[in-house]
Amino acid sequence: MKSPYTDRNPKAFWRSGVSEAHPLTIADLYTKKFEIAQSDQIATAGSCFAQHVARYLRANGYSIMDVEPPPAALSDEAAAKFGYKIYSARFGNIYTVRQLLQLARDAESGSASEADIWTKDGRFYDALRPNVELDGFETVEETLALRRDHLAKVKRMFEKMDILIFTLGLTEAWVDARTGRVFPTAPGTIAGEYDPKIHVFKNFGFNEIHDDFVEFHDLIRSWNPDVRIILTVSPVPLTATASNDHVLLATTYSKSVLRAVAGALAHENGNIDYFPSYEMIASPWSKGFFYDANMRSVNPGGVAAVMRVFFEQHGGSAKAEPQAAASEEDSRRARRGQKRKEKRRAKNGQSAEEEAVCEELLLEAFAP
Amino acid sequence: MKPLSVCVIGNSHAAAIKQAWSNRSPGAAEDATLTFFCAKAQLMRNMALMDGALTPTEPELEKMFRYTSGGHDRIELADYDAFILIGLGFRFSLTQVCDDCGTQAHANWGPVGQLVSTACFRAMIESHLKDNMALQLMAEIRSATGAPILICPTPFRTETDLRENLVRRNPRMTEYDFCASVMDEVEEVGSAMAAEHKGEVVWQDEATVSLPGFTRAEFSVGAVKFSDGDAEAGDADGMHMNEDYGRITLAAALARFGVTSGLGEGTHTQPEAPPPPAELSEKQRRRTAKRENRKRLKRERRRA
Repeated sequence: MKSPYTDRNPKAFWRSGVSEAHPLTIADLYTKKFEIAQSDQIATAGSCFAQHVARYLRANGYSIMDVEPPPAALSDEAAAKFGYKIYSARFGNIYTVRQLLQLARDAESGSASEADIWTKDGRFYDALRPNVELDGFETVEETLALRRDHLAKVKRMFEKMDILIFTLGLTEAWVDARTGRVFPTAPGTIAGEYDPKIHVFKNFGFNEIHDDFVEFHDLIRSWNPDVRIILTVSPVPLTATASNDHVLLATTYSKSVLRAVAGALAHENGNIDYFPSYEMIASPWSKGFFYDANMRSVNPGGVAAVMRVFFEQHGGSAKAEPQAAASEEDSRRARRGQKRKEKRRAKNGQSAEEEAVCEELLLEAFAP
Repeated sequence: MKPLSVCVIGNSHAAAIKQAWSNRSPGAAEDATLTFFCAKAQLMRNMALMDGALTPTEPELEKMFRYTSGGHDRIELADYDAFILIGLGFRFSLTQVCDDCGTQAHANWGPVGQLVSTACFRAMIESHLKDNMALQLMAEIRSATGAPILICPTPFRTETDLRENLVRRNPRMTEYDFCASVMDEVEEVGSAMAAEHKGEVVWQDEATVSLPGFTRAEFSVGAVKFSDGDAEAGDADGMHMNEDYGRITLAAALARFGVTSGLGEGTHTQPEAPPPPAELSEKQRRRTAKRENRKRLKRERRRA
């Protein structure tokens, strides 16, 4: 008797594909949908997990776009503090698809509004990317001027990129009820003040996220018809939820919806690929190996394992070291920096995730 | 009264100071003795604090210390009442930091290529001024002694650094008010860095400055630098300065210790403005001198 499963590849069976496979030697998990040439201009954006992807791609010789590079006189440490060199532009973490769509719409209009400015201790914050200027701006005018400048560069990024790698992070967000604007952090976390009459909690559903992405996709394809997109879902659980659910349920909902949207979009569009970093880190198959003791932060081994699978398909060696093409002095400096970083991390017990710029972690400060 | 024992530690920029001191007029600065410990910048890195002494870890530096100090192979910190650190990487280049980059306020003086926030611009100044041997040495010396420590920064590049293509690209580089606004912030940031080690910065004297952030070109004519330990006159390179510069700088540094140097005025023609009254604070004195310098520049431009 023949079953439709008889001739399936071993990867189709849980026992051979997962139970008997080691997380570090996984095979056939991901098959690329399209090629990435080293000359392709790659833009990266999304939640904090996306920062690791950008770092690995850059180290492996891919052309990661940086339309807002740091000024030459700024030290690496200060550059990171000011949101430079984290993504392809200084937009900070983009946790929700609504945020991504909003950014593309803003880039199209080029306009900035005073309504999107938060204040704290007499300083002014761009509420749509409060983490890039942790000490805030001096004036409202400066905040708006820098935002307009940023949007012009983001527009250029959308127009010029060959590939966008976007990591979907959250379904939960805070929205300004007056303007409908969505923020990357809750008001009152970095700056601003939470006003329950103005700031409304929103937990996006499948259709909303899917429709937002479709609108985003249509918009950027009107500027850049040949763009290709790789979607990933962040395996990092929620730090906190504003829903009334237990944080574990809220995480499961959030990640399930995002995973389903990413799968649907990849299924519907020939130019959208899904890369399964979420499954590699978060599924029972990895037995929790890739999480730190807090069962939330992804450790460097996890990031390396994910990127190994990516490079098996796309070439490269998953190295996160500086390029051989870099000057000897650059390499020495980078090694010194890396050593300092490792020492600091060891001292502070930091994980790769905590090292990434992740304002969501700030919510932990509000935990009882 | 016992003269103040001053230890001068520096790289090639200390040569102008050394020459000014060696050629001082008879009887000048009798209330101070100066001991120099100098070497090229690369060599100066080979030094560690051991048992209260800054000790060379390379024989070549030890040789230079003996030579420039007149026999000492290490710097016994307890032997000195005060310290002056010359150059040693503490420098600010307006053309490097502001080239194609500025704040919204800077745009008032001409187009800005890369717009940065005011806070980011301040961080750029901090990045540019930190991580140098002068501040490291200041910290090490402070860990061992409470004696006053001064930094005399590396001289600004001469105004010849304002090349045509740079000025065409950044016309604001020739605007006095723009340069002054940047340099005021540089002084604030740099002084705060030194204050963290209970030290001070002796910012470049207005008499030597053309536009804020640039040294008057005549001070690099006959510039001196160390060559195998000797202070030698060389070609003007826009970076190293001459004995006149050394005299003005040393006089300003010694004045901080209450030493009336009497080092003389040198061959350099002083600005036309009279010196500001002595009773003014250091900040007020510098501000007045800047104002006078600005007037002088305007007069010179009109004449030109």
